Amino acid sequence: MHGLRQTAATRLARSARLFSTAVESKVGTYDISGQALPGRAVYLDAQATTPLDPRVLDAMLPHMTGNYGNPHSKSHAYGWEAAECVEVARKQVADLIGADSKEVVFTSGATESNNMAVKGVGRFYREKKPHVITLVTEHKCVLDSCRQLQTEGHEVTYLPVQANGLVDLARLEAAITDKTSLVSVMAVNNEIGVLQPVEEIGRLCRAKKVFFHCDAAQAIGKLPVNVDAWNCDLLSISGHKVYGPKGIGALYVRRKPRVRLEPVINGGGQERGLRSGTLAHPLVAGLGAACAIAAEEMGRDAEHVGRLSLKLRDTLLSRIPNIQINGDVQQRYQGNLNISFAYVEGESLIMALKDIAISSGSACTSDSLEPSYVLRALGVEEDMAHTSIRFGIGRFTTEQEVDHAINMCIKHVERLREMSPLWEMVQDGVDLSKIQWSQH
Amino acid sequence: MGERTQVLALFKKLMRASRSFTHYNFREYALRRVRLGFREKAGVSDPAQIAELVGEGSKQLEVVRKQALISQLYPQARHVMEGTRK
Repeated sequence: MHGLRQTAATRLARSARLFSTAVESKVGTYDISGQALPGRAVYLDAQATTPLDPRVLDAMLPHMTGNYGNPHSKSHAYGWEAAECVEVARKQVADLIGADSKEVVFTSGATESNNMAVKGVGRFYREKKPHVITLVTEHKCVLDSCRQLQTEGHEVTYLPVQANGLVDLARLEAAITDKTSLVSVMAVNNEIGVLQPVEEIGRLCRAKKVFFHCDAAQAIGKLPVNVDAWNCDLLSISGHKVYGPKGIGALYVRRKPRVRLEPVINGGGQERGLRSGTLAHPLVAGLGAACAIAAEEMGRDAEHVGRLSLKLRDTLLSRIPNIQINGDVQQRYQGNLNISFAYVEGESLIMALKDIAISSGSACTSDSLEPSYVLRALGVEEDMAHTSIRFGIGRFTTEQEVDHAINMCIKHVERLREMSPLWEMVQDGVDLSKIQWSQH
Repeated sequence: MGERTQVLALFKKLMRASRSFTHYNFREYALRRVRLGFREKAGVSDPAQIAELVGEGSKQLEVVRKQALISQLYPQARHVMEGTRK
């Protein structure tokens, strides 16, 4: 029995070894010129998440080791220490967006902040103002919160966007009625990187006495954000999109004029009763540090990201025919580049670019083969929407990585197109849109 | 002269500490950021301001040293870009 077990184990070990060599040789033979390199992939998915900045981790570690108090304990020093670090962080977050500390509420992330803002305001003003306006290109958590409000009897307007991904201000103005309580529009789109005209939207909402909620998860720390310049009444922040930890975010809630909202999470009355639950103060400290560092590094980051992004964009545009940039070219955050490669299946390209970590759209929908609803809302044709890739460049991306991504893209787009019958037909001058495909 | 030596020594220490990050992206960023930081302040000649900047830099040096050590404690597989170096 013992011997048998041993042979089985040996066999297992051998097959594991065989398997690993098989995988290795597959990797090796995958690319004859040896360009599919082994190792951790180049990370170009900065919209999905960003690495935790070592300086942020440094600020968090004391609170994950010695300072373990409950920030809400008022009867001993452990609690006071933790509470102090929370208040320091609150000030750091507030400073980044030009707000007062008292207006910052910590949450578990931008999804919770968005839920809290949309449902909270919607529900509080349900009696007199049961109408909410948002855009079709918003993040799923805003759209789903709106859907929830609809089931509770609210009316929701989902405004379409123009072909460049931006809202039509005249349509927005026309949609606002005296029953409207809230307009929720994101600053930077997570999929295509366009920056909505937030200042104009804010001004319009203020003039019409409607609350303006802005999901700024993708904008914070990358572009200057100021709640007064934007006339924002509520603003969502996420930790892990600004090189901070996951599991923490914040919601800015204006005090003058006062925004009232019904809490989504009830309990011990922490965070002025708006969001009960013990604060995870190490994460809060991380978010605060991330915001302080972002404020300090914003100019340097913008210069670096902008330079790499332009290089990526211009080289791809000049070297690969039949590609298009999705979303407005000017009005955007540079670090997000969403490109459609015609006649190449997006998922195949992602698979081919195996040593580059990219995605075709948002991480939330990256397991689905459906084309992105954001791109469809822009009126991007189905076939082009299927071929989109989002490149996300951040603080820690190197020029060498971008050069590698450029080379790999050029090479694999060419290779995949050579295999594509559609590409061949296009080269022969066939107009694909005129073909009547038989229905099966 | 004393200041100059002090600044150069700090630069060397920061670069050396930055190089000890095992994670490719953090290492490259730290090196880039250190160089940039010193270049930005190259024109400063006021001794009081230099002293202040050196103090700030020394604090950052501690952070880099601690974090580089942590990256050594939790190493990861080599980054694709490191493979092309040799």
